[in-house]
Amino acid sequence: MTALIELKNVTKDYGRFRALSNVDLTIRPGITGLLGPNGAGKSTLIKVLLGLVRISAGEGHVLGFPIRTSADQIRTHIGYMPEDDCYVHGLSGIESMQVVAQLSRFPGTEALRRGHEILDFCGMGQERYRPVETYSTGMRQKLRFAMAIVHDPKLLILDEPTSGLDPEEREAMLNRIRILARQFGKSVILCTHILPDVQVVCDNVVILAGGSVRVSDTLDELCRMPNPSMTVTLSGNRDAYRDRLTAKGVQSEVMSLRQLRVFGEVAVLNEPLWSAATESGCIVRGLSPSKNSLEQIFLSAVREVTHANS
Amino acid sequence: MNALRAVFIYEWKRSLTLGRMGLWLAMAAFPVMITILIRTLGDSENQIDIATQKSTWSMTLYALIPGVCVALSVLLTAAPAVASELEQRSWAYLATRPNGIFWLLLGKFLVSVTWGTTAAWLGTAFSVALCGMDEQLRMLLSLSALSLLSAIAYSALYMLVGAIFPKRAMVFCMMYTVIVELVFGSIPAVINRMTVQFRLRTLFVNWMPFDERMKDESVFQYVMIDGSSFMQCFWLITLSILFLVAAIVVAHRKEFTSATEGDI
Repeated sequence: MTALIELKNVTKDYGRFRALSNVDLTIRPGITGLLGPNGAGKSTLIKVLLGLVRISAGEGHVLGFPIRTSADQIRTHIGYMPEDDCYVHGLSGIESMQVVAQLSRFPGTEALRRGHEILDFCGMGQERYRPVETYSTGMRQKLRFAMAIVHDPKLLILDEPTSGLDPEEREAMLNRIRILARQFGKSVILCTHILPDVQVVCDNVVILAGGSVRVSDTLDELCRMPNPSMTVTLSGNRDAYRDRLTAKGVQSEVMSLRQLRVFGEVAVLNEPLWSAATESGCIVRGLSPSKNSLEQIFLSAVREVTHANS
Repeated sequence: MNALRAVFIYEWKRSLTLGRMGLWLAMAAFPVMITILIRTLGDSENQIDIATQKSTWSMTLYALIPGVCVALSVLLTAAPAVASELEQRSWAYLATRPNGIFWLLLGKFLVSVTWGTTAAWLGTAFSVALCGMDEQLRMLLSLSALSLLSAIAYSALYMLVGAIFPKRAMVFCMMYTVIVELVFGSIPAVINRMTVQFRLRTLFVNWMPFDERMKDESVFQYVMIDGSSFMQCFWLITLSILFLVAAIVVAHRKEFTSATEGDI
């Protein structure tokens, strides 16, 4: 699969401060979660991809265009939703859409039609005719998203698209992102602090910390445990069940009051898990392969940098 | 052109606030008020010849309209061209569109010229009518043309200064105007030819009713040039294009960010 973004040894300095340090990164089509603590360099990386800041060293390509020389071509194919609340006073939602569509080379009437179409997709009703300054946080968020996709970009960069949204709106926003990626073949870079959002929509994950890439892999690969194991959800005497497992030579650890992690291959565990339950009088309520949580992965990546710095 | 029209409409709508319109009206009213004051308080018993009176009125209206009225009007619209987008955090949206920075600055430039020129033309119409001189049509046309040229040149100049110093754009524009346009522009040396004022002044002498005897006074020899109006217009437009191109290049090359300071 052709890489969407390829960066090699990209470094960005702001005066004496190094925001990005020798970033080597390949992003493939699909939805990619860009994670990192505050000050990790996420915003700088986005600005580099958009050509809003020039790199100090290294080289890179976005959608096949070199980032040093083809910022305008790159921008033509990228939709960017900034984190900042950047609406224009005095314009209504649909007027704002028309302006950005016209700036993206749509003729006047076509820009208006396109604006309505996208606002419909984003679930914005009659409020599109109201001045933007009267919008709630959720509506502004929708409008920013709509402005980012109005020109049908190949790649979308979304900076905190779900922050400040209520659970229903958040789900709707994630659905829109899924639809764009799965049905319309758009690639998305989702920059967020909300890890569950990444877990539910992303195919790939990039974790930045201290200005460099700490983790870059598919979500499935990252969440796979190094040793095979199962998570067992029980009702009944957990300790008695665990004792029975130990007697059968199965190693386990307590995860919560009603959950145990048992180590071993599924085929091998099948018999002892059920017989231990019968013998201890417990009921197995759930059985699933154990996975690393994204939170654990994120924290361990960030901790590495913290330890290295200290 | 589609993008230019979009930016023009967007900027125009945004600038149609009560405060902005009040300022526009104040700028248009300023030369009219001064004209009324001069007419009311002027010493009617001290009879001076008509040619001198015409020259005095020409100089006064030139200073008031293409000078103060236009320069202040475009200062308020052109200087914050980049800063307003950065403050409103809309820079990222507009700058990330194809050639967004180019269309944005060009559109804002046109809005600035429109604001400055319309205020000046309104002021000119009333001031010329009230000054009571003959050759009113000549004065009206000359002042209107000078106002348009002044608005074009100063809008481009202030956009450049605003792109270089977005945080204190108006202060730097004022400083530039005082130091370069007023001080350097009045120095009898070659450097004054690089100023907008020098070209406008020469056009003013060529176009407005002006006492020919005054041109022979030594001070006028240095602060004006005996060149054709066409050449002065050519230089003014060339300067304006250079300023505007420089503003666009600076805005392109500067690493403006809309994120909060310290966000990396």
